[in-house]
Amino acid sequence: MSNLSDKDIDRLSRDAAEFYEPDDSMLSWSKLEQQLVKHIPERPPDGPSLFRIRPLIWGPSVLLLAGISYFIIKNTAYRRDSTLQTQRENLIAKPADPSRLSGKEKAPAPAVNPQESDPANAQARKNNSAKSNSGNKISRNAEGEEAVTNAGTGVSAQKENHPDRSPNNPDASPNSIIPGKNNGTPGQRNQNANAGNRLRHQPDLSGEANAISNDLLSGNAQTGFEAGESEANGKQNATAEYFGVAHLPYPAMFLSQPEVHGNDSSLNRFAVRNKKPELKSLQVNHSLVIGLLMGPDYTDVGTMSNNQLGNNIGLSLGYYLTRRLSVNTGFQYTSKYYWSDGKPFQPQPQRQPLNTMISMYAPFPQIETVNGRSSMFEIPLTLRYDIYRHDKLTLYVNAGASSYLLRKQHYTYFFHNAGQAYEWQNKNNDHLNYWFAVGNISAGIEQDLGKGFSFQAEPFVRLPFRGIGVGNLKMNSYGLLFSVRYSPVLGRKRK
Amino acid sequence: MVNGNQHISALITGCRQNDRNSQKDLYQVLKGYAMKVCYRYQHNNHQVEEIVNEGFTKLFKNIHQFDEHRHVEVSIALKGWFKRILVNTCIDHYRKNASYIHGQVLSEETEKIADHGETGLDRLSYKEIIEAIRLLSPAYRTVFNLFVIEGMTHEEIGNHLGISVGASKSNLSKARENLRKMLTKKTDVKTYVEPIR
Repeated sequence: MSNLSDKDIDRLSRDAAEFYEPDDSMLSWSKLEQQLVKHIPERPPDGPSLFRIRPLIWGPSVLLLAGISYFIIKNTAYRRDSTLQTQRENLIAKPADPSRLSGKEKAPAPAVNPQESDPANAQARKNNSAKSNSGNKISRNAEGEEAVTNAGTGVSAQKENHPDRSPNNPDASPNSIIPGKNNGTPGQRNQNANAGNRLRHQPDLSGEANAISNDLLSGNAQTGFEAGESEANGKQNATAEYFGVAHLPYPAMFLSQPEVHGNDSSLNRFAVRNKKPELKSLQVNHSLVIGLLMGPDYTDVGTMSNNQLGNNIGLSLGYYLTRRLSVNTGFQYTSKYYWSDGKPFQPQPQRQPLNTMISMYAPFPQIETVNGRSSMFEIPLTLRYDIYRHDKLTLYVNAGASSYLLRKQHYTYFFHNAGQAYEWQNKNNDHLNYWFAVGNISAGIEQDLGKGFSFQAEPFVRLPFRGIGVGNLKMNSYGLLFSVRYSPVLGRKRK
Repeated sequence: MVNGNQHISALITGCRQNDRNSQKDLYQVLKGYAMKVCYRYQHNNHQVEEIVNEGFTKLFKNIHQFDEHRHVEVSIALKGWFKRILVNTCIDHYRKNASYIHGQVLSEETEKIADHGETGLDRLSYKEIIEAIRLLSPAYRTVFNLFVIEGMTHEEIGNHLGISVGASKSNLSKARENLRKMLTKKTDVKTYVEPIR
């Protein structure tokens, strides 16, 4: 026995540790359960998966929603821009198709300058302009056909056959072009374009430039080529080139300009060309804003910490009262998860008649903690003020009150009775409305995405004005709302 | 065994969802094993129970870290993982109470406890050996358990207990010597008895 070596001791100890089964009757589940209730209390059953959106789900969902919205909006804007660009390039690159320029195009009815509505007046002005242009020879046939020949250059010869081109037609006057309007029937535009030097002595020709630019956009610029393409003269009409910009690229257009030989109206060419049209500013009414919002919601009651996140999802509606001030409301579905001390939920002992000495019912055990889940609709009513705007970025603050329309309450009570830990589930589906129950303060940042869409992130704090629910709890809520908003065009007007 | 694995896997899944019934069932499965591990680290049965419950609480809290799909024998893998939790819990208890239990004076009562095992080496039961280990002082017992039974090195023991390698070796040597005396019925050996708190 005395020669027990270290190896023997180790071997015996290992064997004993492996095979010896101590009596475990001293262990009891109830004691462990109490520890578990304290350290890892059983969670209430999860609600419907749609409304119990966990952060790992709603976070990427919001990013995905924002990304898709941004892509769609940007892609739509790009396609529109690229289409316009292509149209412009086609206009510049392609020569005019005479078959398309037969004067059959539809155009908005011309706006007639009242001053020019008098045919006699218009004719007199035409005559005056012809006289003043000493270098030009104007001939006119009975059908209103006119040919303008620049004596100095001898290049221009135009021919038009159009009913509107009657000498007595007031619209035939170049002065009939009203600035800012897409003027005239095709015949009128032809006349405007073909009139060439005749136009240049007019003091106010901003309408021409506007008409040209409008024609460029609408594809009507080709109409000015008809006379320029006339085979009767066999020459390129430089005047028509000037107004029918589509015929040559810009550098060629400048190279092909006719010389000026003491023609006062010709001196105004560049002035006419460089003169920018006076556009009226267009005001678009974007006062109404609708949005889709979602985000996490953290709720605490008193000093008890919470390890669960609720969520908000809903619609928002805003209306701008002024440029910066707007009133906002909405309709949100909100789930709140929270832990509370048991005192607010402690059932009050029933009052017994005075002659009853002993209560019929045992008092309810002291409730230690309560895990609650409340589902409700929230209607906020807030005023928003945009404190900073730069480019497409807006910073704002928001304040107001929210009403809770409580729909579902689920509580798990934790308490001990006779040394045993218990959990007790309690549900309440009464519809309880709490108008303006919480104050709502938030600030946020809004990024314009274009096409009336915007994305905003808005941290918020909701502070209770009153208690709600079974425990009459005053809940503090904190969270972050992500919104995709759309501002439809309510109207346009020029100012 | 497949059915046993499935049962254990189902219990683990339930424990992940914090289901009390699953926790209770897993507790019933593992409590004997937990008792076996912790019993030799503590002399006081109440503390054994405390450590076991603490170990189970840690197990249920961190059950999501255990991946049963990586193991063929889920039960064995779970026991191995649980054993590490229990041993670490025992070490934590030792370190927490180290300042208190160091320097305790052995009483005459310990000699009486050591006396009632009068069988020879060949007739020693596992219970007597384990009980002898439990009678060692906490420092000797812990080092002996970690080195001989858990297979740790002195460096690892030193790191876990916050002692030097030399102290670990010294404690192991003294633990063996005391154990040898107890097992060979040397009645003059002074063993440790847990002070009453």
